[in-house]
Amino acid sequence: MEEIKDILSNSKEKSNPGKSEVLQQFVLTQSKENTYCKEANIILLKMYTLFPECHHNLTVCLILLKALAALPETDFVLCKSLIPHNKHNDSGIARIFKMHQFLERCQFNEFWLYLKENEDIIKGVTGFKESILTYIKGVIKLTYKSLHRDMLSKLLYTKGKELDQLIAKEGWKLKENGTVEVRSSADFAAIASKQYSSFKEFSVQSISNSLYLDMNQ
Amino acid sequence: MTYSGVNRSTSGLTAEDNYYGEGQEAYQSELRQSSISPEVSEFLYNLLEQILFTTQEEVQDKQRKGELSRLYDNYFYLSDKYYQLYRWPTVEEVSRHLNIDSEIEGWQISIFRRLYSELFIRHSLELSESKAPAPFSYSDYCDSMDIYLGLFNLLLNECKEPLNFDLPSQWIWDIINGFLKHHESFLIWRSQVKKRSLKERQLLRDSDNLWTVELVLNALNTLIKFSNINEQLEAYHKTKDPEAAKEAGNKYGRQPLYRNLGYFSLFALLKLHTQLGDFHEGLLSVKNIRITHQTLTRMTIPLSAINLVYNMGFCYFMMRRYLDVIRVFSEITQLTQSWSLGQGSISGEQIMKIQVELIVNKCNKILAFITPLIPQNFDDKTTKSLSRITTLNEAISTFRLEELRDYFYQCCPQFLPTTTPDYDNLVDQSESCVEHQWEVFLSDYIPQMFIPRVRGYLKFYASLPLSKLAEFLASEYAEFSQEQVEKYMIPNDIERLRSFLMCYKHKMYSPVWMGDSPLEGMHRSANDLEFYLDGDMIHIVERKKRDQTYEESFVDEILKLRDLRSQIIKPNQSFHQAQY
Repeated sequence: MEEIKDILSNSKEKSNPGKSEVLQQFVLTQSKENTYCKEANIILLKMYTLFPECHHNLTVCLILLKALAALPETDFVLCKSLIPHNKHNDSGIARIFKMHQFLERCQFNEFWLYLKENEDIIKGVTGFKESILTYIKGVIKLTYKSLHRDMLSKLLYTKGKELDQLIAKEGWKLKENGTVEVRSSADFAAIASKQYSSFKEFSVQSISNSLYLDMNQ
Repeated sequence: MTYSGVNRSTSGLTAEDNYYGEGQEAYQSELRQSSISPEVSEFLYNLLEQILFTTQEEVQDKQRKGELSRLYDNYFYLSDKYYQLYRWPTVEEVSRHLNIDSEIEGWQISIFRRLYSELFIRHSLELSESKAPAPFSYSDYCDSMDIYLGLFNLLLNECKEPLNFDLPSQWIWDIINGFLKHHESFLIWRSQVKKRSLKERQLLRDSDNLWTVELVLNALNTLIKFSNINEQLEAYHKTKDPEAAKEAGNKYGRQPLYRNLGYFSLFALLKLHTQLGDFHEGLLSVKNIRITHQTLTRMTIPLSAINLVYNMGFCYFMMRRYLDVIRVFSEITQLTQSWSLGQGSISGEQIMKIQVELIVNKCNKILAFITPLIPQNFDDKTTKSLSRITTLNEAISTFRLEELRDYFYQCCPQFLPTTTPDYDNLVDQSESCVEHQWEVFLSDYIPQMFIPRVRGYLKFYASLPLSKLAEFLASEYAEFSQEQVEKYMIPNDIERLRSFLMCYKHKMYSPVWMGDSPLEGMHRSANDLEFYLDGDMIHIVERKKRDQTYEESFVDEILKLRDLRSQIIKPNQSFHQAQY
């Protein structure tokens, strides 16, 4: 861990191929212990681009899966920019790209079906499915006021009791006709009014800064 | 014009100067003028004199610095007048001309030689990129690497103490920028294997430590570390007091020369990482720089400011932080008005004007990708320049991908081909870097290309069933084949539309900068149109037109005043200001 901190804080070590072993090991630890360090992983991918002889497909796959688990952040796109074109056809990497496409386009049902056929690929990544579920729940909360239980079941790929538990845990309400209430319409109205003023916020901030500085000149 | 009369071969180059010998074949007669004209001669004498003088303690005042920047302008003027087709004389010729040989001791002379060499090689590269028949050769690249590293070493390591010396900020920026340019030029030159001769390929094969990325990264990081600019900026953000920031500096960092070197190295690092496709590390390297109207007006070097903003904007663009792109770019369009560019007759300024305009154009092209998705209220200037490029709206809604690709190629930075090329199979790889980034971008962008049309429909309704919208879209996209529908996931049935609406929400929900480090931010929705799904019904949240509050009308008025002021008060042109 000390060594990782050293690499992260010392810009010279970031392009030192001698450190790739340590970082590779660290990716394994992250996958096993369900932790995540975006900086370290991106540094390693960058090293692979600068020193192609270090390239290690399996590690790249793990990094990509970790980035996938970090959705809705754009980490995956950042990683993709650093993976050389000639590696995109590697079967592992290509399959993860496919999964990413399903998730980004919110084709969640397709994603689960695809994952079922490719279960082998996420072996060794602890908590992967849970992280994806969190992402999907987030998207549902952004979009839905309410939806039918069957639809929810399809999106989350969860059935029966498990689904009921999940609904209860999220604080959503299941009605008698099978509709699940996710949020109130007042919530959305609140979001709308917040968005309106977000640009003014910048202005206020930069004005207060400039007034402060003007007075001190 | 007195020549020392010493034969070149025995002119006694010091050991450190030996590497200039290698490149001499390239400077053969056709590339340079044989004699030094009186005007150039005067320039050289003045430059030497100024460098000898500015380094004496008692004359460290603004006047001297003004003198140096006048000379620096003069360099551009002379380049334009005498050296449009030829290179400047080599450093040996100049040394002979000025009668300084290696026997004269003192770091001032070394500084003069190094600075002159840098001017010489920077000009030579520019020359090789223009039409003039003076291509850069392998040995030129060897020279340029040695010149830059030699200059940095001289400024930092070779002396135990910081030098009592200063340069105009514009000059420092040009040095740092020139350093990156040579690196970029070399990597591209190397990647064009088909154009390289057999001999060149052999030379390249044998030299794997010429202009490497690590070398450039290390040099920039060393400059940053020495100047401890990051610590100073941190202190500044904590206290908002430039004095406290200076306090935080070490013996190097307190001096304007080193502070500026470090400061511009941060910009350079951002640029380099962006060119390598590492957008995260790019923004991380400027973690202590805040882009606000205030900080930008304090940047006295337009080219540095615009480079910073462009590269940051591009990183944000690739990270899908569109609101941040709009924020940084709209600041810059306001600023370019306040720079009095290209009004002087000095050719340096003319060049600068062209370069600034080039980058502003790129910024506008990036915005053209974003505005169809998030229509925003821009200031007049941006709207004007955008009205020229609205054709992209068409291309997006009809999926003319090639047109979009051309646009992307025009607005993206020069991506660097870092891998050693295959010298046996002769495959050019310089194109593949930008192609790769384009594909990454496109796969993220395609799902967003339905947004303008969907938005158009949603605007007209308070609520709309999914099936109805799907019908509308099916007729809009009727000309697409089934294959295309599958490939792009065109939302012309309920299932795909449902996915798309979630995707719309997801893509528009990204971090927005809130005043801290550029990478930080709070998740906000960039949608100007709020909607939600209730089962199979889309509801559009009506935004109530609120009465403008006092606060808002004050803000509006202050903003107007601020813009007016920035047009009246040009940024201080004096060359030394703390640039935070």
